[in-house]
Amino acid sequence: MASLGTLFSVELAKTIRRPMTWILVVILLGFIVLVYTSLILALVGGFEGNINVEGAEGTSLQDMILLPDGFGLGVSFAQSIGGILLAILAAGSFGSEFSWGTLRTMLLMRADRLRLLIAKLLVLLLAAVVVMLIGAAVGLFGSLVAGIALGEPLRTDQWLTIGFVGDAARMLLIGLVGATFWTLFAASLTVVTRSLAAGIGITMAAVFVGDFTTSLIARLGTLGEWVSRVFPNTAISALAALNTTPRPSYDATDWAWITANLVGYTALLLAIAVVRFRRMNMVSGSG
Amino acid sequence: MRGWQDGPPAIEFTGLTKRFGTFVAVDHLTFSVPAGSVFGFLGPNGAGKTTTIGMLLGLIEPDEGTAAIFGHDVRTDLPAALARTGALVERPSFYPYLSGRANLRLLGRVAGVDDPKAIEEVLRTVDLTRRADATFGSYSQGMKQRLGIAAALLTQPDLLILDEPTNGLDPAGQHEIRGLIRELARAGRTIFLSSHLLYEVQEICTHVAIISRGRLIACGPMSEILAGGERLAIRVEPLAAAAELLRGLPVVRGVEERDGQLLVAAPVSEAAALNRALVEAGFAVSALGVHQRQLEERFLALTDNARGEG
Repeated sequence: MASLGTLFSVELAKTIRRPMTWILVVILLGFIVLVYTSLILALVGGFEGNINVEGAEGTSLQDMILLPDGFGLGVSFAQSIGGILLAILAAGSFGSEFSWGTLRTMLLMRADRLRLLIAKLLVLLLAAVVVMLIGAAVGLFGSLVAGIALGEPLRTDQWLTIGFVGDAARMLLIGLVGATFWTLFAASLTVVTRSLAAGIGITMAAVFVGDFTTSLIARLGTLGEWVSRVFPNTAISALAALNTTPRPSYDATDWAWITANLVGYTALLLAIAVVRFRRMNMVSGSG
Repeated sequence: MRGWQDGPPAIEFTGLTKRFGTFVAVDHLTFSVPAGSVFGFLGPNGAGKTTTIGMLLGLIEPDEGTAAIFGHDVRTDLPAALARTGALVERPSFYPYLSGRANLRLLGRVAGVDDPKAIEEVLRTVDLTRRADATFGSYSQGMKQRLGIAAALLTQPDLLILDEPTNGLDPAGQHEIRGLIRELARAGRTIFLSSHLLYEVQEICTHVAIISRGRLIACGPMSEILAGGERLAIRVEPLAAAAELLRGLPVVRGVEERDGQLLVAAPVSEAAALNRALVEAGFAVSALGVHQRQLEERFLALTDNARGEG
């Protein structure tokens, strides 16, 4: 029976060689490059529109894409856009295999169901790490290019510091938690529904409608605030807020519900995926 | 022949049952497949063949009963049961963006077959070497089926389970796959072949089991399943009047007109007497022979009975 390491390497090879993976990478990079290019061009050439690129607003916009803040821009793109693309990758990782029937083929080759599931999830976790690193690289490189294009000093005193490295690590970790959570959400839903479309659709609804709804509920007084904390969106938003300025300060109660929420949901999603996957009927015909 | 033929049966079902809600897909199935046999597993569409195979291979969880491969219970010792088994279930399923060879390499790693020579050998066996580098998505149905068989052969299994292997193939493709199965059987493997193509099973198989509505209705060596069904085939003119005459004879149990001849249910030893009776009555007998019962007739009779009882 294949070891977890073997299954991981097989899953990784499948993911790397799958055209969908590269389409998602191109979309992520293309989107980030497009945003940086637009901002740089706007700041260099100026344009007629709703955004003022002169005066205080212009300076604020400039700071946004120059280091040190520009790094956070890349990371936030990786978490938001990358998170969506990771959810699509996760749903595809299971949904396509259900429709192709290839999970059945893997099981006939004596792959253990639990190991196979873990291997697939580990590859998705690795993909989330890679997406965040892409965001970090683009944030760093894009900000440097923007600085050169705008003729601004490199401001190395502001980002070649231990403090910046710590902030960057925190940003990446928070981004990774958010992206990984929705990736796991999409993967579990696809396992439960056996449908790529359902996996992607429900995850997107949970992300966007969930964010909107929970932010509304949170404004309905103390009770509303606590009710909103039942949803994972609120916990992820609370973590993401730590990457903004001014940074909120959380007490022990805040950390307790954030941790309980995310750990609880992650455990629940993993349990659902494991139970469903282990007992799943892998034959669709009725002959 | 391999030594394992003296051991436990290649496959053994004992009271195997699967329900989907209130629908009983497989109903207390009990039979065994002798090692070294080419075993046909027959049933109409929806009879429960694929569900049975799914339970045998650990793809579906049974509700009751057991299935064992070479003595290993698939519920308690699936890895050992599958260690000597290769299977093609439902349809050949591979990664469409990978070539046939890349698919086999990937699956070989999972199955513990890392040797590239083993992959080339199975590609050669199924005659797919020339197209091995084309993507699976570009394969014809016949090539997909052959790749499915190649994957099933990767681990050099003693038992090969093939679920409708000629499904969707043109006559030439079906002929080719049947030839391949015969070749694999000659190498001493046990082959469990699920099909609804009766002539195919009759042509290839040494043993057969027939299920209907999830229940076993017949099982045994092909010769036993077909036995007792000989009839005399008589080409005679005029047909209708000759049939009338024969029906009046005490040794004749029944007469059926089919394809311009009479199929007469009577002992083969009475052939000469029937011929004499026809000729003396002025009929022109142009041919008289033994009509061997076809599996199709037996299958239809058995499944009709099963439907009637159901």
